[in-house]
Amino acid sequence: MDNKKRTLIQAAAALLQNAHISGFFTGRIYDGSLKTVCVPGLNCYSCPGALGACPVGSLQNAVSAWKFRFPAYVLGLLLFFGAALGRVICGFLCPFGFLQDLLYRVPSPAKLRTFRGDDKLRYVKYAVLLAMVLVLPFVFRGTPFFCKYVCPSGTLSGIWLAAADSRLRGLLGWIFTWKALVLIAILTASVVICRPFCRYLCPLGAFYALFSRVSAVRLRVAGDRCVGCGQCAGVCPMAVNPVTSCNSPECIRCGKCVGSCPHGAISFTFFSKPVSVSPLAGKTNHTKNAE
Amino acid sequence: MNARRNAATAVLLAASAALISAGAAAGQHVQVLAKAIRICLECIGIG
Amino acid sequence: MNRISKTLAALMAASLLLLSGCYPEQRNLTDSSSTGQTRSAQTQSESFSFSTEDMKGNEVTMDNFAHAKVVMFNMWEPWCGPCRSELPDLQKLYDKYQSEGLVIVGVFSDEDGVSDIVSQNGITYPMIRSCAAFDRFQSGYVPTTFFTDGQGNVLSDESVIGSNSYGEWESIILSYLNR
Repeated sequence: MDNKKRTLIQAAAALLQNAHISGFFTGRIYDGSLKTVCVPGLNCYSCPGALGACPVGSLQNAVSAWKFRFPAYVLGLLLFFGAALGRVICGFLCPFGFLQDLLYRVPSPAKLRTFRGDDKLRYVKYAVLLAMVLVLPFVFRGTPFFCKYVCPSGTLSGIWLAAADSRLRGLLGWIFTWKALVLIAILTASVVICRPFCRYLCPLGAFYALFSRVSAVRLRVAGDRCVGCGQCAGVCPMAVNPVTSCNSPECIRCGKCVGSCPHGAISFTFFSKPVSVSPLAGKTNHTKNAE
Repeated sequence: MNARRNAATAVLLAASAALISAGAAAGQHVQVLAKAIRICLECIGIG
Repeated sequence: MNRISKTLAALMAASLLLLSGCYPEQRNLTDSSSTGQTRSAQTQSESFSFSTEDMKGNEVTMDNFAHAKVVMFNMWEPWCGPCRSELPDLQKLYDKYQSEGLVIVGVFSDEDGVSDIVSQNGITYPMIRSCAAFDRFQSGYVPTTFFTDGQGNVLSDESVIGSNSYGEWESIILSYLNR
């Protein structure tokens, strides 16, 4: 899986989840029945192009309903996405992840792979999931806390809506200013650190991370091929060591490690069967080349 | 070990199908739609 | 292989672009047989009439409010926190200006929790179910509020989007009452 292919898939996925192009011009969101289904990535349903419902937003809405009922439908969808693909969604299908990837390509004097405290900060996203997506909306009904106070995807949508629909401009208040600052911070950080939102804040990534070891699509390191050269760890955008932490919850399954291994030791698997292998792999490669 | 993991995957996928069906039978998918096509502006930080 | 996937992706993107133009802009939550309608200039030109029911199942039409000077239709939903939080203020305004000819009418689509909310907030103004006739005033956002007179002539140039404070609503209401 070379990066060009992945970029193409990311672009297609972003477009697919936001194909209601007319909305960007009229400022009116899509209100058809496709929004019965949640998309797998983080994509605010107030985005004028959004064709599906946001899984995080829908979960908060379900949890903060006036009369609480167990949100089987939304949880079922999330469980399906997590068990089938897990954080492959982060690496390939999330529009906001794609945006961060693009920003990281912007040249900058510093590119930080990791820093002191980086590994501890990764736990914050689980707190965001628990507190802002589940507990607070449940306690204070009728308020989706993550959507309201944090979500950068929603901020982007709000900016576009306000730009296209003048009635909204008078409504922007301090909360929107706060969210805009959060967005700017994330976008700026994305130039220097790869995927800061995915690393530290995204509740959806935190949820999918729980499935890393059991998703149908996973990674595998062939012990007999790995020589411990560390090339894979060197290219990982999430600062994961694919050998020592194979299928880490921090891994977004971008496949860069797969492509970097000189011996084809790392592969994607589907129900444990290898499905792709490094193009660098030499003649010693016996693994089936199924894609 | 892999067999156990794959079994877990299968169980989770089956559970997800059951949850989706149960939720849809209870009309929860209509709720998802309703809240996704009329936006509560304050809920997304505007207004 | 690469060229094929690139071409496929480009074709998919192009067809999605074309498809997106076909999606209907409007959708009525309550009436499944309705087709899309644009909500452009219709808001003002035609006088407004409707036929629906209140929470007890009694029929309600514009005639029920023929005696009013200003009718304020507040379209809200029970799952929308800000919609709920402005209800007590609306009730206070209704109490204050009812004698001057104001009627506030709550309009909802999702009934889940409405009766609880209504009784908890002591709402006495009419509460009716939305129907297709209200679509032209929908903004895509909730709550949305518009004003007519007792005969259904639309008074508001544009629907008011979002919730407001007591003071904000009061000045809006007075601007219509004092016309």
